[in-house]
Amino acid sequence: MEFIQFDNLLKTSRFFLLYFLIFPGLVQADSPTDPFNQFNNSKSRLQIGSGYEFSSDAITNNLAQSYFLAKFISSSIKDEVSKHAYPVNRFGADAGYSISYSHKLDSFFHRSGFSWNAAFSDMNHLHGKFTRDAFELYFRGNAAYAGKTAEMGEFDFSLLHYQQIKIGMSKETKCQRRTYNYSIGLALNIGQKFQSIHSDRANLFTSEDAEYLDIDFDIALRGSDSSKNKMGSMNGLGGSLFLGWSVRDESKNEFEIQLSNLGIIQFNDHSYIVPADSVFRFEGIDATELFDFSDTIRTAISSDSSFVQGFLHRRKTESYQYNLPARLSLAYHRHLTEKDLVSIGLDQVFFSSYLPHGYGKYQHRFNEHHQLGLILGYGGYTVWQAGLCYNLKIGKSWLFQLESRNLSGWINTKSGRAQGAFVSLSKYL
Amino acid sequence: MRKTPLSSLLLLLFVLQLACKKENDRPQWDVAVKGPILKASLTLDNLIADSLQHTNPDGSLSIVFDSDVFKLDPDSLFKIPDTTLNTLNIWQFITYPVQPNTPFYSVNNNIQLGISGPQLTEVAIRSGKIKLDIRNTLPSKVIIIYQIPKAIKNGLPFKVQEVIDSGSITNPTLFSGTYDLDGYLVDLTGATGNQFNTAYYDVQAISDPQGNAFDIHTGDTLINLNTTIMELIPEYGRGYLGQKTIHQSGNSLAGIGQTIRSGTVELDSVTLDLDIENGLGAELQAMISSFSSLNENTGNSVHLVAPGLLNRFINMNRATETGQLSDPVRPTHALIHLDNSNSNLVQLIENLPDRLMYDIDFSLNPLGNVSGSNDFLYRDHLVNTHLRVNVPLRFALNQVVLVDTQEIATSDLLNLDPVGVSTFTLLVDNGFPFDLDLQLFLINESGSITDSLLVPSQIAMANVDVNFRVLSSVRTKIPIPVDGLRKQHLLEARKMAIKAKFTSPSYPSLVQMYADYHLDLKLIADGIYSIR
Repeated sequence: MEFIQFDNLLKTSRFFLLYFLIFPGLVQADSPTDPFNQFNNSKSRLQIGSGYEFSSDAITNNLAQSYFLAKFISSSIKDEVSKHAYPVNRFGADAGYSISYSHKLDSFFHRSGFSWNAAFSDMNHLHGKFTRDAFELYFRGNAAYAGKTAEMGEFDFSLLHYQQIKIGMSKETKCQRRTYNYSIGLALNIGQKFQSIHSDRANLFTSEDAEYLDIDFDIALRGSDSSKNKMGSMNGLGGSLFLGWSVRDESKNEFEIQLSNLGIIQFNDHSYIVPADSVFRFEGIDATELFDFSDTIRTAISSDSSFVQGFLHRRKTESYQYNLPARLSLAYHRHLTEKDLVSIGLDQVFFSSYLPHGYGKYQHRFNEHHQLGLILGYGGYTVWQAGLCYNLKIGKSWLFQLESRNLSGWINTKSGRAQGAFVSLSKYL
Repeated sequence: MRKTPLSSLLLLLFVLQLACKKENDRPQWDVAVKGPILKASLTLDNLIADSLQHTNPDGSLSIVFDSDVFKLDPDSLFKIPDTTLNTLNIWQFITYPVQPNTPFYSVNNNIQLGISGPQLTEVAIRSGKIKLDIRNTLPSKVIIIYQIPKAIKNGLPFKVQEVIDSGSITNPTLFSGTYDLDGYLVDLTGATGNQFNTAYYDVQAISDPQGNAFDIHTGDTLINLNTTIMELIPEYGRGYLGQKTIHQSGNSLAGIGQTIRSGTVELDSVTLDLDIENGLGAELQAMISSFSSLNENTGNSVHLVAPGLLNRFINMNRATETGQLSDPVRPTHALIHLDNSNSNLVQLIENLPDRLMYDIDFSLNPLGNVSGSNDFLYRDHLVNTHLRVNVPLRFALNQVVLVDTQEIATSDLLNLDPVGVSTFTLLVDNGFPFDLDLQLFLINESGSITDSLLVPSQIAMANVDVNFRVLSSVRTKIPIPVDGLRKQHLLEARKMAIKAKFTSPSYPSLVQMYADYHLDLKLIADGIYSIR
């Protein structure tokens, strides 16, 4: 017997991961660094980037990969998750691609230091929160819970697929040997699809002899119009705000603070909601008629699909406001030498199961064409992370960047719990 | 060199795509599940139809077979056949001028209804029709007025007036009209008032008030009219119903033997009450010549031995009229009671009959016309024979086998495909005071039994006191291992045969059944389920 929320999770996750794997891209693209000072010497930059990231504090990459690539999930794979599982666990994923253009203006209303930028992105976002019992029940079944209650709430699952068109302006000013940069951006968000499952309470008690199951849940399933979820479908509209501020000294040490993607998508009134709040005891499908000797006219019994679906009969459609995962980040970059740069940062993603995330980054430029960096972090959707970044200057006007903040999934394929890669190519004009 | 960055990016994406190729449509894993699948709670309702059960004040149960076994068919008393009468008049005299709006033909006539046996003087018509076929050869329109003066409805006689166009001998005008007789009360004593089964009608022909005068010549047809009375169904009739013997043989479905296939049942007692109801306004004499039970499964037939009932005349007085339209008849009754003391009824019912068979003769007016032709009948109140058999459910069972077959759609019931090696457990809480041997046989499309699900199949009886009254249920657990072969049998099953064999304790000691007895079944699954 599958449970409602997991069945939906299965389907939606699978659907999402199709995109997740077809368009490996990372949307953690914050303001691009300029490791070889190319933008400083150019008027414009055109960048295309793509990437993905999956991370969890419990789900291993091995399980995620098996799940999303539709492989068989063995007991040993599940054991690795159980070993690390907390009472409440998180996972999150982002995937997508973007193309952006930035241009420095000679003057703007007779004032200098202005530049503008525009970008188009196709974004997928997924996050969730689940209990250890939910994992055990979903992947191992309820047999181990005979005589016990499996507590699955609070449970959260949310996925979003949207496109974003952004325009922004920035202003750079110098004051007392410091350079200040202010930036603002506004984006139009086109909601293509969302699905969410939220449960405040979901408990399953299996009696010792399995004679009955006591099921107690309060769950709400939401989703956008399922008849229109292909690329280009517009099921919702919204906007986002981007704000940034940084200060840089003469030694190019820089402190920056950014607020990204604070916004919403208002999905239209074809979106559905299925609330289900029930407490009941399941003792099996009633097959009394099977044993009825008293009448020559009988009804053949069959499984009553409405037994489960009966709880979902309150489906209705209504508009829904989806709060986008907004990121607040702080970073400090310090040049130890001309070739060595150290950065530390802290970020938090709101409206998500993300926890505060801190990181440190060391980058060394070997020559005018190669720069390599090491990244260490903790938090977010997972725990400890380690990653690498590599920047390659090609000719005078090209920049190729490759970065992964989560290499554990690549290195420790058995128990790594995060994986991601970001690749971009920039052309300076 | 300029192409290097783009080529690198595309190569990377291509490698990632290959690495991400899906192996199956869906991820797969195994879960260990444990939980209830099916449940059933069986009471005697499931063995005996609700309509047959009767719960006594102390909770004990009886089977009550309560049914009308015979109703007299009104057509067996008399029928009114369709009747046609021609009214033809040809002018035999010298030429006669007819002025406009002048009656030129009038006649009274009787129609003898072809009723055989009864001599009715009055009949109320539930439904029926009268059809008039008129042929006019006169050179003028003719008004035909057709009346049945003694057919009254709402205080008015039956009357039809039609205008028939002019015609000629070579080109006559034909008219045909059909009229309802529903609800008419018809006097059948004819024009003179001393006849029976005879209706009286009147026809008048009048020349066209707007037309011209015309001459009637010798040989002209003044009127040519066919009257057809058809499809008459009487609601009520009065007169002398005649002397008649009606033989009725038949059977009534008891249905017990359909489910009980073998074994022996010892019953404590049986009573039979036969109520013969005479709703006719005529004396009636009934005689039951045979009464037997037939078990179609065994072919065994047991004849009733009841000297006080069989082959004896049962004389019944005539019913009386109440004068109330809603319930017009006060019938008379003949009540016959049989029990263990005056019959072999117990043996008759212990035969576990599928059918109760009987032969009855009814004689009408055995003393002749003693009412002065004042017999009556109402179609819905004739002769009815009502049977009530009461079998207290206090019995002893020895290897009594109930068999039933159910169509099942296992593939709908359970998707067994992902079920791995598992054990189903049937939990049976037996609250009946008898041991039960329950078997579930799987039957495939060709009708062959492919599997027997319950091994062992013995279900222990409930805990009972010295009077065999159940004190508490007793649980029996029957494991049902499900391996690949059994899964295949379940998937291929189209029917499930259920065979239950009962034996009461200390047979032939009698055990009373109570309404609160029940047998609870639960099927519990414990095994591996593959998520796909």
